[in-house]
Amino acid sequence: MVYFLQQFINAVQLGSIYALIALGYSMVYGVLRFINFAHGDIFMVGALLAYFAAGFLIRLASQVPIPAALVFMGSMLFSMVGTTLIALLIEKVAYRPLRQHRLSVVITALGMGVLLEHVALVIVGPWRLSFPLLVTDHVYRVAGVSISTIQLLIIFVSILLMLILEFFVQKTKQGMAMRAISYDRETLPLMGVSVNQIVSLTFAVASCLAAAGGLLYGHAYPIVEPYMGIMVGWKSFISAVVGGIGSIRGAMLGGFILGFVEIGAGAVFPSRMRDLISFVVLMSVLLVRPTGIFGVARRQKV
Amino acid sequence: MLQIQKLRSHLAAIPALAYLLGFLVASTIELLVGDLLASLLGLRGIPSLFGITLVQQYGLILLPAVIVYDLTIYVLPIYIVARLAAPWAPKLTNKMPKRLSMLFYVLLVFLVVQLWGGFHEYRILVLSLMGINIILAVSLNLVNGYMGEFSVGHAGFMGVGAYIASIITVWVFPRSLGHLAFPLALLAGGAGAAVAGLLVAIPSFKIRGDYLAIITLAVNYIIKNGIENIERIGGSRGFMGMAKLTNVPWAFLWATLSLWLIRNFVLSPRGRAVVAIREDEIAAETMTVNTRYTKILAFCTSSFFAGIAGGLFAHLILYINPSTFSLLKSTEVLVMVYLGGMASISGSLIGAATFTFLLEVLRPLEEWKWVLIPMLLVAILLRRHAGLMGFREFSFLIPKEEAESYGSASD
Amino acid sequence: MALLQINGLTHYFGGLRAVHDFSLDLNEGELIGLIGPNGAGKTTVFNLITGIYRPTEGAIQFNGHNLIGLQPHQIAAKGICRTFQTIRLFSNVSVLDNVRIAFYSQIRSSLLETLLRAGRTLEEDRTFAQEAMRLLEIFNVGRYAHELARNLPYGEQRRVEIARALATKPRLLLLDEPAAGMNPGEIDHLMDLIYYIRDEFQLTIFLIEHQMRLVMRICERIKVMDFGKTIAEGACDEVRTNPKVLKAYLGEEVA
Repeated sequence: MVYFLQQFINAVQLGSIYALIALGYSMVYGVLRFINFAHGDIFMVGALLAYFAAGFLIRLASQVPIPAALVFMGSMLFSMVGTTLIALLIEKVAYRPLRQHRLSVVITALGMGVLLEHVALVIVGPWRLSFPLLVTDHVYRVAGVSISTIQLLIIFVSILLMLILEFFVQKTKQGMAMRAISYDRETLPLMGVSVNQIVSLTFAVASCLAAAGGLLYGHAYPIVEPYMGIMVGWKSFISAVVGGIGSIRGAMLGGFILGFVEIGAGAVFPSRMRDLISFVVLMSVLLVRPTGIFGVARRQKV
Repeated sequence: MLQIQKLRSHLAAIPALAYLLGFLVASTIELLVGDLLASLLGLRGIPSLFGITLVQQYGLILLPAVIVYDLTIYVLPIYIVARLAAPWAPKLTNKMPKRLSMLFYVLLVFLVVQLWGGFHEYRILVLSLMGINIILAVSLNLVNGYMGEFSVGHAGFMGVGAYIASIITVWVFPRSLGHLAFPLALLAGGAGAAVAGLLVAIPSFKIRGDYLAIITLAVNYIIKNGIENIERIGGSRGFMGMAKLTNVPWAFLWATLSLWLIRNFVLSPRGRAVVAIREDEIAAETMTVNTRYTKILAFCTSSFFAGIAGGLFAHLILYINPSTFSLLKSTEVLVMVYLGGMASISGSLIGAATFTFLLEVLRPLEEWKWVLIPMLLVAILLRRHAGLMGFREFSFLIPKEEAESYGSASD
Repeated sequence: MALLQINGLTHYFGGLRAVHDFSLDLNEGELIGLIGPNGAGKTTVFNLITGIYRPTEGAIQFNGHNLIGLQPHQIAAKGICRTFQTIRLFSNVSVLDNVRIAFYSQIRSSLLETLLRAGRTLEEDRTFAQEAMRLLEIFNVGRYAHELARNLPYGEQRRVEIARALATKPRLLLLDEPAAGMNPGEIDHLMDLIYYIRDEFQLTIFLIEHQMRLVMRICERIKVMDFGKTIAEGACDEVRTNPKVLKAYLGEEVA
């Protein structure tokens, strides 16, 4: 029982990170009908920027007293802003001109992902960096289950961000515009809404979430390296699809599902088969319900 | 700029056959006096790829020597011979029936390729890789370009072919029979890959588009991970022991074969059904097209050739492990296909050749290579949305009226 | 025996009943119309006949064969072809190729011959191209043969669609609103065309139409649907004055 609870917490932790990144895939897809394959690498950029910010702020903190919470939020802010700028640049230069040509833009996205990985490699060298701890690590024992502050932090921050996102999408004008675009892109400009602005906004939100995910991931698994975005990216992408790509609820659900499947598979099967099992399970879900759980089955009018 | 325009049209007016003959002469000259000239110019042996890598590695000092070399061996002889041959070259092939002239061209290209590259270790490697990449690109184009799907797991099928072919030549046949066993091993690898192709073909009956892309991704990963888990064939440590059976003739043969067979398929009534599925599957079904059969045909043919490419690859590099056939490799093939042009046989040829060449030529740049290539890709896509030869063909591959059927690039 | 026999055809989309107890006996050579307000379920009937949906209940027999459960391409190969309400041509393909694709069920060459481009493949290719061209000429769109389908004006696209359907050598042709978007002059042309192809190709024609001018003039029998049910059936004059039909189209008169 204790064991299950322990794994449950691990799964929620992993799932929240996948969910944060899956949201990015889903939102961009919802707005543009386009899978931004570079998103996993945006996540990596987020982790990298957070690493630098954290390093700088910690050094600063040794001279000027800064509360840990501020260091944490400062790193997150820096990472979010930096990642957003990079993502917006890519969107403006590479995606926007090709927006009409779906397949070309997808391959461009793949290329941009590779570009980001290698720019990171070039700038920082073949690094495997150790992420600094921004939070003092305590391990609490509750009913025989150990849970660390880091885990609490990850889960708490993720859920907070998701709640903020939910509020934003449901209650604000911009959020409504984002939802509207996913239903009908052509009509929206007629209502006085700039599609480009909404698209940029979507990318910005997606990148912020991915950056946060990067920061949190760095806390959970303290090694960050240029190719970390690949596996996490693809897995989050699959989470988004399983949940129903284009659906925000779907992305969140999908992320947690994947977290549970992966931890569950890891508990039962040998660890090297863990990824394989996850993929097989997810493929099976898709075969049964091709549009994902919350996906809108686009009924073709014949 | 007028001079450049005039130069361009002047060069374009010379038939391809004449250029080929020019290259033939140039390669012969290189064989005869290349070494001598190189040492005279202070170069350490014949520059393997026109000196581009040399200049990158050793700096611009070598540039003058390389330029002189290239001019003397390549540019001048090619131009002179081409100019001279231009008037009578077309007459040579006009007299022949279509099939014979195609064969003539193929043999001529082979002669040029073999002369230029067959005696130089590095060139053999590059040309063989080019052949392998051509097979990968044209087979993926069948599914992604002609059928309009988005398959991102091509490397998985390559891996299946690589492993099956290697197992056959290393464990099943004695070493001495290597050359005889090679084609059999390749075909077996292809067949195995074709069967693996069913893993994607069958889901494609109900699932299309982005969702099918996930399935292809999952299949790639499952294959890769599956191989990792089979200790008997080395698991993640890899497999080796293959003899270097792949060489320029074999690579050329299989590349030509794959281009030709897929070209024939695409021109045929059955091939047109593939395009119909891309355009409107329901309408196609209603017009008697058996979409299920056609999908199986397309996917399995595509993976068959990927398997062949895998087998060739294994017997070139002599060491394979599962991580070779990962998403990164699939991405490379995707880039080749889209760079060259969707739904275009000529495009796959060009895309694969250019990409292989670029990869080798930019090798000294290491990581910067992969910063430059995506930027180049974006630059090309911005000008030509469907790739360099998207939906178009060279007229010698496909006659003009046929090529139009696949739609001109929508600009 | 009737060429097409439909009995008690019923189809639900989830909880919504789109077609209720539709029955029909179509004899060879007849020209029958199906009319009714939008959303009456007419296209659904076509979709059920051609196998795009499998009916919840009912039986469909064509030439003695049961059609239910067959794949659309099998039904098409048996001799039923159709056009669509919204034109569904293969847009990025030439007009000629649009028609050539429809010869699929007439392919006799083997896969090997196809791959080697030898033997029967070349002959078939040529034959199909010639026949396709002939069809295009009949419909007066031959000059567009090498043009991309999506570049054609609307009226010509409609004609290409019919030509394509005829390539499948059907015995029964289902036309879904062939006159949509046409002006009266074009409709007259269309009428002549429909008579012509019925005679020339020995077809039985079943058409859905909103344009009363066309339906009343050429249909021998008319069925009227509303909300999935058949509300009237018979010759033009009977149907034209049927109060139920008038109510369906024009609404109830306020007393």
